[in-house]
Amino acid sequence: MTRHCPAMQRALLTVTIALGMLPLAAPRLTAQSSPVTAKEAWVREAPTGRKVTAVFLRLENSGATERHLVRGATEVADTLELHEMKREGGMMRMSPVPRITVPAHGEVMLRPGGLHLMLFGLRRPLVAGDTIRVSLTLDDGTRLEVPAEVRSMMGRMP
Amino acid sequence: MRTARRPRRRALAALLLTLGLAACGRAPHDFTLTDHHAQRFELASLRGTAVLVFFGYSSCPDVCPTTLSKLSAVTRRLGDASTGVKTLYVTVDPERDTPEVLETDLSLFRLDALGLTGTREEIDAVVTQFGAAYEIVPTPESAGEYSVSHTTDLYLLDREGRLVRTFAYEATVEEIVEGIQAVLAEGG
Repeated sequence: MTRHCPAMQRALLTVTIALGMLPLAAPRLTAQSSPVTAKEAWVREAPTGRKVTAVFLRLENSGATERHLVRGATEVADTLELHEMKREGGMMRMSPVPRITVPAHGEVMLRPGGLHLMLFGLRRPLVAGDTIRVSLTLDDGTRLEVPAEVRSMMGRMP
Repeated sequence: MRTARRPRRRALAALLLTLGLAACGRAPHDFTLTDHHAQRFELASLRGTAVLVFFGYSSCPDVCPTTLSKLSAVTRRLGDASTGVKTLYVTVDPERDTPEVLETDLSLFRLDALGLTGTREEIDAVVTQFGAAYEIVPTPESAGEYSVSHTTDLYLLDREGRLVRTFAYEATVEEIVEGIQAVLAEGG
């Protein structure tokens, strides 16, 4: 070891740097290691006095096992529930669902007119341009921390 | 040939009249409800204006905001002509949708609209008048306690309060704009 070997030194240096960077590269091991990711999350604005709103997003699953979104929470509302809108017998129906399936090597869209996350008991107004944090829990215990942008009611057209 | 053509003309006139009546709906609509300023409102007060009517509720996460956004886009597209049309958003959830709640809801949209509420009986009468429907569905497993299923059609009334067109939820901004322009182009 006393003998100088430039190649070995360089290799050691590389490993040391790589090890040093590891905690920075993977600060949330749970979410990072999960093949399920949440993307493009947004929530409808809610003025003072409005007690409910909805969150929409895309869940992608790069893994070979289907996963299920089973619950969630956010600091801006008392309750977060998984809901679905359906057209039945000429009427639009909204009902809670126990889970939302994210297929293996696939994705599920939560969007207006379909699956969405309902927030009940809003604790403060949500102003367009703000960001709220939503925590989602999968059936394997994985927790996804998702930022959701507050969008204007006017902003979304079908 | 003349004699043979006359009955045909008469038949054509009768057919056009029937079609016209069917297209224009039957009698003019009328009802009285309470608006989002807590004032009594009569549909008859809007004679001379084209009117859009739809049913919804403010806890609705989706359909009602989408319809209101769409109608805001219709207003923008109509430009100056938008002063000739008024939107009426009738709640089917009067227990939760007080005039204040409806006012808050409408404040998010740039649209000449009135939120309308009333007693359950008053609202049911209007729903029946338009052939719409709704159903209150208890959801004990949800913090919402109940949800309201409802039809999502949009009704266009002419300046005399007669139903001229019914738009499905999927109708585009262009289709609604064209429908309104046709009503506004009629004399009167």
